[in-house]
Amino acid sequence: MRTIVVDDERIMLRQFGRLSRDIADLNLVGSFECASDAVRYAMEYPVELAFIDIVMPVLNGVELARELRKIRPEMVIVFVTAYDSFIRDFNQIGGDYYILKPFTRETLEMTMSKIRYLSRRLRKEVYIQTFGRFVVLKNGKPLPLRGKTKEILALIVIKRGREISNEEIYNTVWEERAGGGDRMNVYYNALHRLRRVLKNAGYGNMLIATQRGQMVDVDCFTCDYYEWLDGNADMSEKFTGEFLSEYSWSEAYLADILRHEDDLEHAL
Amino acid sequence: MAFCVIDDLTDQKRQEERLQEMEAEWKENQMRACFSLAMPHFLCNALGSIQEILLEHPRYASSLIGDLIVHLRGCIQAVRNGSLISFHQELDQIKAYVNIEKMRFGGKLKVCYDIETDGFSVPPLSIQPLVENAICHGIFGRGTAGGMVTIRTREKQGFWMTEIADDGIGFHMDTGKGQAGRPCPCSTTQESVMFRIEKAVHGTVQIESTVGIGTRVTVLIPKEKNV
Repeated sequence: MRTIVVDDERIMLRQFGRLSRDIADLNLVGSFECASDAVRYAMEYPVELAFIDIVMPVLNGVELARELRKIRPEMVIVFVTAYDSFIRDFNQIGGDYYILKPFTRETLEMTMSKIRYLSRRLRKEVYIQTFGRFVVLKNGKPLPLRGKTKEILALIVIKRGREISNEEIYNTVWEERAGGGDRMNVYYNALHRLRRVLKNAGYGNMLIATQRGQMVDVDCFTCDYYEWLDGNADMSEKFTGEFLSEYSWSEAYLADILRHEDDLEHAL
Repeated sequence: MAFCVIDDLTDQKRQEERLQEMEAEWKENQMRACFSLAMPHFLCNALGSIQEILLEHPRYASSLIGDLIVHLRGCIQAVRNGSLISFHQELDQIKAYVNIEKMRFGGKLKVCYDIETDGFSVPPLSIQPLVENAICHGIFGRGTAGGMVTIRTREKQGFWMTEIADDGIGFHMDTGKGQAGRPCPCSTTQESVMFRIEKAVHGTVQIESTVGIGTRVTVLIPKEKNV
């Protein structure tokens, strides 16, 4: 999660940087001594999590939280306070959690796991993984998809909401066999099975049939490939060099991804 | 008739004296309460910063712990209601305190010592709280811009002058509130300091402040009973 920390004391910012290093899901993208700098940053760049010191001059932590919520309403805000009298009201003053300072790495880790649970509830039920093998999970459990049925879905998902013709799907998945006519029955049977599995899982609307092909409704699920395309920094870490590894046709996409990752490295 | 009036006057005088005693006791207790509440908070914050500094700058951390000890000793002496100390000793207290505050302010806090004389007596920790207010409210309120606190002493005809001036955010003198109408919490400390200076050395404390410009506190201590 893209995280910022705001505290008027530089030493505390340093401490946070030190303690938060190597904590899973905590990607510290900014440290701010001045609340208005934090606001300016959040206007330009996405921020999902903020640790804010309550007692600060000019714009205090509570006011800052209010300003940040105007820009990014879904941001998770954790107040950091040395005074436990604030704790009673932390929900009323716009915080999602609080931690007392001084805090330890353990405190941060516990906070992160609580935040993860909160985020999971807000996130979608279906998660599609493409980095590595192709996996379709609903609430952490894989859907009963196998063989060509599963492969069809992978191809449609990759198009990210764009239409792909039935012929192209058939030609790609059933390689080298001449398309059209009776030969495509095997495709339509598999497609039917796919539709049934999705419907049973409560996602009959995930696959949309067009006049000549299929497309996927991207709002039904989260997908690691989509997040990577959107430039979500966490995703770059998830990419380990494999993309839909069980399907040979994925190589063209893999080449693109590798080239992009390469460019990124050179840019850094 | 006249007999009753005289009796009433004596009663009244006794009541006034009793009131004054109670006021003195109450102010002393207030001061002690201030120290006992503020100290743990102050210690927590100071130690928290030293904890971090220790990892990269052990020598600096070591000197800060020394300053903390000086400050703690000073507090113990003040609460014990001890006798007067020289301004030179009070200045040591002030410097120790400033060093500790510089941890959290860094370059945002500048302190200038314009000391022409230090050979007069003050109650222990009577000037240091004025510097504390200047830093924690005046300079703190400036945020990243920071500011400067100047501590000045002069020997004048008939009295000793101590001045603490800051270019911090100031406060409204009539309401006692700061910028944006926030209440200024330093009034308790100021009151207790004023009381102790008046009682112990017959001095006066004058405060001038302009919102957005700064604050100046002037302590005048008459020479006659002061060594």
